[in-house]
Amino acid sequence: MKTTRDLIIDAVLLAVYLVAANPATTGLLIHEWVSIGALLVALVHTVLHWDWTVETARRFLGKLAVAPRWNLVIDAAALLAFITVMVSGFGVSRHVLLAFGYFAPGYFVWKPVHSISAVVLLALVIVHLAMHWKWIVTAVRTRVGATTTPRSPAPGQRRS
Amino acid sequence: MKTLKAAFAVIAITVVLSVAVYAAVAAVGSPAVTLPERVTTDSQCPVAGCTSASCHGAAPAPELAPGETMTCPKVGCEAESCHAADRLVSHYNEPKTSSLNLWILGLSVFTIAMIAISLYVK
Repeated sequence: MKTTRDLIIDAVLLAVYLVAANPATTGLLIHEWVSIGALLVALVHTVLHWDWTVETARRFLGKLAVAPRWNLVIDAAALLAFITVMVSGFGVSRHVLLAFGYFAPGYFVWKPVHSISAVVLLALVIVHLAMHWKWIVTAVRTRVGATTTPRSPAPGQRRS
Repeated sequence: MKTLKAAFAVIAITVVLSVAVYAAVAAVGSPAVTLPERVTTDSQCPVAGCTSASCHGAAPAPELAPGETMTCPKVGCEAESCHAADRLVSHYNEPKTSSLNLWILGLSVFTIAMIAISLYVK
């Protein structure tokens, strides 16, 4: 149940992120509002894995396998990149801030920060996905297999 | 209760890091970078530095007519040869670099597809 919930939230986050990461395709209006949605889903994603984060951070300097150590480093870097994209995104915002009657001075300072951090974030998301690929494939295969392949009832049992 | 605590922790970290990122960029980009300002009819246009209410939509600035000047958003000068003038009329609010995102995504999909095919063939 927990894995299904995580899988759904991760799929939604990936879908929303992919839309937000391509402003040339969607236009700036959609890009800005969808990015705020991506921020909210990313926060939920982080909250759901908070126990693992705290536990791994606690053991980071002690005995810890290589994989979770790198996972934590990549995740922390991705969080920092995400926040930089978000803050600089408000700095270059054309629609969201204006919808509330505001504008942010310093467009030409924020613009390169936004572009560079967005590319760094995209690279980190790809690495993050690659590091969790086994879990994703297993989780999807288990769930898709469970819903599409009808299990034959054990001898002497009735199908409910 | 546990989830609520985690939510508070994540929000707190997000706020602290956001303030740190803002402070770092503001320190480097001062005085151009300030907190968001309310748009009023007499507030300065973020594009051209004029005080016309019509340009607050932050659309690309119009081409300069001979003899016209804009306030350069980088150094505050008013000259037709301002190094940012070309950006004001062409690059402003245009998502140019997103094509790089498409390249990265395309290459990733290609690599994953190649790995998947090689595993399938094996």
